[in-house]
Amino acid sequence: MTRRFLACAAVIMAVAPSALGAQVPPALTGTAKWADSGRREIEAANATGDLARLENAAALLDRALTVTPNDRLLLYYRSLALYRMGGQYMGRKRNDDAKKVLEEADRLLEQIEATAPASDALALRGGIIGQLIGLSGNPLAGMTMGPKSNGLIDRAMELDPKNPRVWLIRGVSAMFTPKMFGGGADKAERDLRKALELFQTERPVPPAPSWGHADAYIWLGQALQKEDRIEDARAAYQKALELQPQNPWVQQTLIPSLSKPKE
Amino acid sequence: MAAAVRRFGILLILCGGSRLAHAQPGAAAPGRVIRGVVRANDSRPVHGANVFVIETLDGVVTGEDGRFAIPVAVPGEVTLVVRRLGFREQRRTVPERGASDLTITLDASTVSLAAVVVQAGQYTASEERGATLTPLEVVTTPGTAADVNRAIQSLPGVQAGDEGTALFVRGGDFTESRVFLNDAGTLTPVQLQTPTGTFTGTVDPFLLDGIFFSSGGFGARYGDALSGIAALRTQGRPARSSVTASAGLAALSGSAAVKLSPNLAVRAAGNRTDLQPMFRVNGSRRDYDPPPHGSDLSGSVIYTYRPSGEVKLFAIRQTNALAVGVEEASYSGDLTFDINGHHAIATWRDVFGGVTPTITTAMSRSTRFTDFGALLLGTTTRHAQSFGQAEWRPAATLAMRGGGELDRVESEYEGTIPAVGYDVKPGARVTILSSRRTGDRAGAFIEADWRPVPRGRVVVGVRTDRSSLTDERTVDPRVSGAWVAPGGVTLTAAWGVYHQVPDPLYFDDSVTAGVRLEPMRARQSILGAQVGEGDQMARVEAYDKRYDELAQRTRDYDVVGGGAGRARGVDVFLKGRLALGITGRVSYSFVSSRRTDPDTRVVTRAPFDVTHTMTTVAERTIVGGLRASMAYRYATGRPFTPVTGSVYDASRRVFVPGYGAPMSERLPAFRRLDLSASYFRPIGPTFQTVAFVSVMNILDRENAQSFRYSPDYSTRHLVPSLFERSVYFGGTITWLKENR
Repeated sequence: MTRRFLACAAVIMAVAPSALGAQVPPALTGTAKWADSGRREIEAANATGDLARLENAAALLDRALTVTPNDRLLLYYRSLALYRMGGQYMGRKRNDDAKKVLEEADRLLEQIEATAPASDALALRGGIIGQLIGLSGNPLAGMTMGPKSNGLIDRAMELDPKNPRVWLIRGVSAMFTPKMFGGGADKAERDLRKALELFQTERPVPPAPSWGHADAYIWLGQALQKEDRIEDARAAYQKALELQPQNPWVQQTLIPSLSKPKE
Repeated sequence: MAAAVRRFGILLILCGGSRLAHAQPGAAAPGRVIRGVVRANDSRPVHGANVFVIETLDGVVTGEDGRFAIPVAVPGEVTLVVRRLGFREQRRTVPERGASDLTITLDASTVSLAAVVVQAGQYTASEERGATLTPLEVVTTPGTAADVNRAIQSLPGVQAGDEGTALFVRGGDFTESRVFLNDAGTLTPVQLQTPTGTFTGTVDPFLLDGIFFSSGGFGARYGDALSGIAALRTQGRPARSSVTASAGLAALSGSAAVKLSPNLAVRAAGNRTDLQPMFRVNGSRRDYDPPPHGSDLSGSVIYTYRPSGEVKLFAIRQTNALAVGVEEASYSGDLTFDINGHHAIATWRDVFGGVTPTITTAMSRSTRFTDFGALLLGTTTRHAQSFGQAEWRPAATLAMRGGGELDRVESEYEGTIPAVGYDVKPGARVTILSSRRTGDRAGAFIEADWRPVPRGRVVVGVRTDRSSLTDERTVDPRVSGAWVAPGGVTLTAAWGVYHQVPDPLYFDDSVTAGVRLEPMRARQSILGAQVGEGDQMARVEAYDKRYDELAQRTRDYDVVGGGAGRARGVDVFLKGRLALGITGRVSYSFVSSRRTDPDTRVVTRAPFDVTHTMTTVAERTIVGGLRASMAYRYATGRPFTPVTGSVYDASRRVFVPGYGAPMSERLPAFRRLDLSASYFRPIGPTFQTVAFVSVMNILDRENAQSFRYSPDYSTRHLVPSLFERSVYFGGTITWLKENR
């Protein structure tokens, strides 16, 4: 029995990637399979705006973490699920719920960072801290948390400057950063276009992170819309719909908003 | 054994992933179904709870009605786990039969269950989770003048009966607390030590990114300290290059952080302080010539050679001087201080798999010259130390730490000290000091940090030290624990033995008169409770500290050993949001501290037996970047031994005081109200400005520093503390390099 136990543990060790995004065997087993299952559920739920499915994906990953609480991929994907949930809660004006899940995601990503930083985890944490600044209700929170968020994204960029999700999160961060603090739609556009360029060539192997391609078009559309480039924005949203045809946010909110007079 | 089998089964599930489909509702093989409802303790159904069987990981998320139904394909009893953010996890064993409609009640939780970060006696100031204060709160606490020690004084357990910055922790002397900078102990935890206390802390808070303070019960990693620990961590690599310039009524400073490459960054900072302009604007109750002034220059190089590996070099040079008019019964004149210090620290840390090693090497040198009447003493201290630690995580719930330190202190003393404390005039009889003392200390420790259950944490450790000064080995076992009890209350407890080597000067034959000094010892016991963390928290701790083998100085500068004492007290810390957008915190400490009086050998009140200490801080954002804050401090007056009479000594031509019962009187209580406001405004994407103004001691209360006596001791007069009502203002401008 001990030998079987050790063999099993060895399999787990073997399939657990040493860093996020590492190559893994095509036939997934063990925690990698759970992580990949979570990944697919998150992507499907996000593409359709299905909050319940997202909550299920977060719960699925939470269950797997009960057994292997330090698995980096499981931690990452649960954080991603919570991050997505946070976005949906904010859209539904459930800010207290959003804060709760984003803080939990921050805690999990900190756990990854404590062992060995990975660009995807660092960037996601930077983006989450950026959202927490907005939810804090304290205008000065940006003074202390802003540099932390930027620092994490910068570190992610140093680790992997070709990671499109790092550029995506940096672009989204620029969207929400006032121009006087170094943000703005023009900078967001530059980063998001770079992200899109990198998404064209990215070929991640499951269960490595692969999300964000449609998001880059969605946020690019918003950046362009902010700059009154309505037709360019519409084209970006259409590109997003090519990747996620059922995305309700794009269909029901963003595209209709192009026809409304600017507030 | 059963647990091992269960874990093995779960691992098999993860290994094969064969049961992955069963994680989805309704996908399990037909069999029994566990049904039930999840409710909060107010009976409302809980939506979004994760309910699953741990043996199979089959589970569902509850809907609006809180109900769940989980098909279970394995025979025998199973364990049902229920989790929901904001609630404490519930586990329930479900027998094979008779579990058709369960009701699971969840208790709301205000603390994170996944990581119990609270420990007895510990407070942190950083952006990390569980921190008691944020760096912004440290620098904006009114009356602290952005001083690290003064900010620490606003935490419970620190008695501050005057305006000095020394850390008198839980009824102990300030020399019983050590300050560490990047894991290296500092020689001069406070600068500008005046006869009325110390003036500023060692390090500019803007150089720091984390402060850890322990008022007791700290782990085996820290040695040679009886009462408290303040561990400061200098800033790491900057996110962006920046240049900052600051000007205030008493200080000019500048700093720069330059990112030379993605892996290499340098920081430099310079600071020049001079209290003369401040005294000109506000006046001063004391005569200074020159007023306190000083400078410091620091630099650091941070090299990240791989994502987890970092080398950090930090060096700082500090100079401080002042002369203050002091009136003693036997002599009135200027007390002059001139202090210089250098400190250089190299730190390396990395992560190799589950092992995290850290090595720190530090060198420092401090020279100090004191001149007051017959007291004319030059002291040079050199300190070399190496510290190494490795942390290993053999399991998710266990971290093992082990390490050691080598520490050499060389102290040189040259000069004279008065032969008796009551005759300090120039020309009085003196003891001539000319000696050099070297003390080597070697220490080692091992510590296990174990989380046996999700709600609990136990830290058990032991350290051993040997100093060449005492020529004795000490062994200090230490244990602390925390447990999140039902109701969200974190209960904490700590117990430990702590040793400290007396000051090397105390081993000089001219002051010890053949007395053998042992390592000083304290035994600490702490019990506490905390609710909440971060922005909203309440903490109460009770402690008992017993001292043995204390080395003390008499008022005639002799050293005596074998002192004993006991300090008991309660600390309370409350932090939260109040009405009208105001956030606030209250620290309250009660202490009863008694120890051997070195002059009479009677056990009586300790000189730092400040019964009640309270600090209240309230802050509010007025609009945009404008923020206002207020701090009120109260402390019971410090005890002192009164002079009750005198006789004239014709041979010395001085009155010899006669003393009353030791520590039988107290100074008047200390009260102070400070206000401050700051305005933050960015100018374009690359400049940020902060303007600040503070009014210290706004009620202009004349607090007492001590009493002085007339030459024949027939009358006594109050010596006022440093600050009457004072205004301080200034501004900072920062240039930040654009990030893209």
